[in-house]
Amino acid sequence: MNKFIRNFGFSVSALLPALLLSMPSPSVQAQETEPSIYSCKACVRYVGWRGTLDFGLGYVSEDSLKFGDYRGLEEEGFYVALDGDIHFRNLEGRYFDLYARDLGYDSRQLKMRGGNTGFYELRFGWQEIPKYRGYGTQTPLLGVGSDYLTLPADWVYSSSTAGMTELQSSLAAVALKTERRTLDAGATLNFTRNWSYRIDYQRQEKKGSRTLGGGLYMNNATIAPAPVDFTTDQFDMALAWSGKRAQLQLGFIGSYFDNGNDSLTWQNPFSANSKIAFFRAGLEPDNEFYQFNLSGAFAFTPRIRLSGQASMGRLSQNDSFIPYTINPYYSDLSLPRSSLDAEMDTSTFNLAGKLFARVNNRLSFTARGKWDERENKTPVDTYTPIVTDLVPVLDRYNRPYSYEREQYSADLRFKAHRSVRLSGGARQENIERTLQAAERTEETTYWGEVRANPFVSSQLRFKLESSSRDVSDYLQPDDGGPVDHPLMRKFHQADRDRERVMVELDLMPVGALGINLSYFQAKSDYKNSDVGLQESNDESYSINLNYAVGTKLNLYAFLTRDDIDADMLNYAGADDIPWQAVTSDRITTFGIGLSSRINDKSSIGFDYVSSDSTGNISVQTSLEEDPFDPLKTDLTNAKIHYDREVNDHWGYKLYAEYEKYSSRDWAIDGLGVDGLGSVLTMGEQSPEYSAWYLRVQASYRF
Amino acid sequence: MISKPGYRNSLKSIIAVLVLLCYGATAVADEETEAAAEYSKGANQCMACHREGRDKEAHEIFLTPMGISRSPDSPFADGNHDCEACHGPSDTHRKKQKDGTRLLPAVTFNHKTPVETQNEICMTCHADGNRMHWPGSMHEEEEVACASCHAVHAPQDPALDKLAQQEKCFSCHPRTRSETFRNSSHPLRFGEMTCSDCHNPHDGNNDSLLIRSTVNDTCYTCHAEKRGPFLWEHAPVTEDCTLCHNPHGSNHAALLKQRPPLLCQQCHSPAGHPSTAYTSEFEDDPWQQRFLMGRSCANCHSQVHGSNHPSGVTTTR
Repeated sequence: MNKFIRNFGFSVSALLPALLLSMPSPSVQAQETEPSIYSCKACVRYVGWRGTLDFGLGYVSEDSLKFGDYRGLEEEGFYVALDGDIHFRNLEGRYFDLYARDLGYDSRQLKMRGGNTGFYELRFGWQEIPKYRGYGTQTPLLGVGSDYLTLPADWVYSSSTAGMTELQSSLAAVALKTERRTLDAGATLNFTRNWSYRIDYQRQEKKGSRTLGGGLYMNNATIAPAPVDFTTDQFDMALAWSGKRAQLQLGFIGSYFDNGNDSLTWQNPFSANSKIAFFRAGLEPDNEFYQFNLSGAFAFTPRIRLSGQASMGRLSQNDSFIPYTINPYYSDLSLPRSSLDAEMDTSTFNLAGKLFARVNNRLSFTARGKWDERENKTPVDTYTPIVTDLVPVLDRYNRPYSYEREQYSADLRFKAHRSVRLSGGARQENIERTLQAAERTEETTYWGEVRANPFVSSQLRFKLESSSRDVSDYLQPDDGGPVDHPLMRKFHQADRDRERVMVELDLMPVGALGINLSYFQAKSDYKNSDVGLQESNDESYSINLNYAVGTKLNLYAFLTRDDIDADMLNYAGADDIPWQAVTSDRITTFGIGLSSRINDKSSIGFDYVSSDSTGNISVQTSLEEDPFDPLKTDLTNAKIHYDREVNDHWGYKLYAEYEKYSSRDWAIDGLGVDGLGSVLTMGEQSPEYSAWYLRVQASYRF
Repeated sequence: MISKPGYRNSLKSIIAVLVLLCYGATAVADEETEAAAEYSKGANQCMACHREGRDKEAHEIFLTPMGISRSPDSPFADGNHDCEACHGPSDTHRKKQKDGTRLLPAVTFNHKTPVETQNEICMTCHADGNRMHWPGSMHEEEEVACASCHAVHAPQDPALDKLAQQEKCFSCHPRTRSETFRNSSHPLRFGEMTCSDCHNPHDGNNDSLLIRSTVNDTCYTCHAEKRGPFLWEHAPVTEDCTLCHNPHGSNHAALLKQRPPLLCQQCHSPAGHPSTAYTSEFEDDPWQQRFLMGRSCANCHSQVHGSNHPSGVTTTR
């Protein structure tokens, strides 16, 4: 809690409402405009302060980093449960709203806004999100959280993890966690009825540690805990003019990223060779991005409207390079430049934008055009990478990728009958790339849809979409690096036929009951790819029920089944031995719940969700190997709450949540840190828990 | 067959009938407009019935910023007809019919008023800012009513609450709800994020109604460290994050659409370890398991989003 007070600064939260309420009255013109509500005797005037403060204790039944993910409830024990909302209104139109959630947890949120309706608004927000990045992780490396990791003094080096005899005694548990803290502040000023100005500032800080693989030494690698110390400052401002027939907005976005660490250095656990006693990896460089936007819309008539948007920006990065290697043998190897001086212009034009026309009450037409460009002006030089810190590879030059994307579309919608609407359209997307295998891809899509009301209180929607992507030429670029199989077609640059189907049926057999049935399928055929992704199929079935009796009772249930399949082919390099991989993910999600206002004083709610997923992978050569064990993730979550008002001011809230989670992953389960002889891992395991969270709060209303 | 004079007469008759019909229709329409154009005497009369405790109570609008305002654009500003600023002139709604029923207000924000009419009312005042491109946008063309998501009478509009907003979106996008419960997903179900953090439901310009011009620019609002430009770029990363990631949720770690090494092998096939068939037989193979087990390719190639290390050409550092 102290940490929260220190980080957030209650002085700020206390000052904002005071500032808002002490601001001068609106313009003279506004003061002369008396709201007619003054003469409304039947209108309830909710002026002054009101709100609800909920305070109490929460209890978590089990230690689990995964349960604590995003919740901030990772340890068994008691937590302060503090929520609330505070509001102020006066008859001059001034208002203030504060929403606070989970202030006692590491996942706290606070949001405030205030101002005078139609004249100005000030906003402030604070949010913390904890995220765990590995479960059951351990490492012998010392100095976790810093950018310099060492091994214990008595470390026994070995070319295999099995020979690291001091490994087990040196292991320390490491909870890899990042915490994202976001501060928002903003203001909107309405100068006149037509002109307004908005400015929003956001600072995101992400701190903690994560895993980073690398440190190649001979055939070895190490998974090390890398520090995370990211700060991003973002400005988003806009000057807007709004008239009855036209709107115009000039905006600016600025984003400035700063990484507190430029590299991570760690001791080589595989060898004491003084030349490569340490590894050094580069971390994400600082970067800057700004963009100007001009957005506008004009209505020629109420039925014909043209709107568009143009954005132009620049992304740059000029962090100093670190040396090729930490190996002193290559200390004289000079770099072609001291920093990249990278610069990339980005632009997006919707200038022709969207011509939207309702020809009459039955027919409407929309046309769109969009041009998106990334022009990478980063200088190209020749480098001599020392990939494994031992031997230089062949000289390589960097490849600053650029692309241009054009999109055009036209849609027609026609109401053929009071209960039937026919729609159809065409879309064209062309992408031009530099320095890549496919210089140009062109994809044409046609779609049609029928929407009908076959019965009273029912709606059927059937949509078909067919697209075909063609590649002009596919020539593998010669960049001095490894060469792909000549028949390889990267899936996003390959010829492709794709069919999509969507069927939806909405029924309302009785007024309070709503039923929705839906089916979706997207099937892709990479028709000319002899190597690479061959086919993919994505299907989803869903049923949703909702039963509402006024505002007193709401019942819902849903069931969704997702089937995601893919089929790929590859060749084992020079041997030209073909092999095939077939993958399928099956995910079933079921939920049921209710919320009910039992009477004027009490309400109850219940939610249950189960999500079970299975991932099957089969990689087969001519030897017909067995498939892998299924990947499993099963989640069950149940929540119940009961709120009761005891008198005009006091009440209580009871909340219970149960969550059971289990997962199995053959790639990590049971390996431990030394399970891979040539890789020193951090021993990550699939999480599994069964946890209760109980909360009791007193509720005070004023 | 009709003779010429007969044809002319018929034509004249048809024109006359059409003129009469049009005139009659106009006259009737004018009468209806006139009859419907009467406003009541303001909120005082509305709230007599729609007060707290009644079946269709509407008093909570006075808890919202719109309810009390000195802005001349406010529905409750002088001359703006209070409730009827949105519900249209509805004096006839005030009086019971002979059969005891009431006529509806001129505009109701449910299925009894066409969606286009409902939305026009809202856009009279809210056509600015990020709603500028609403006409012709995907949701507008799908005839989504403003009131389908927004509740202007509620003290807190559900569309502005992180959890309540999701429920509104999921009612039409049920698959997305299930995706948020997958093994790897953004923290929507915990209320730490919500749909409008990435999507602008009123927009008509950007792909998938994203808040920024491109997918990548949208992702970079929270993941600016992946923006680069890096010395050694990974081409698909610079083009579209969704080539490898499913932002709504995945059965695989880090929102990946496919698990490594297969994800990588869909595009990489040089001779050697990138194109080797890592079958289940290799789980215990002391030489090959490093390419398959643990973090698979990322055991070594961890900088897949790009590397600024002069020796990071293979994204290993």
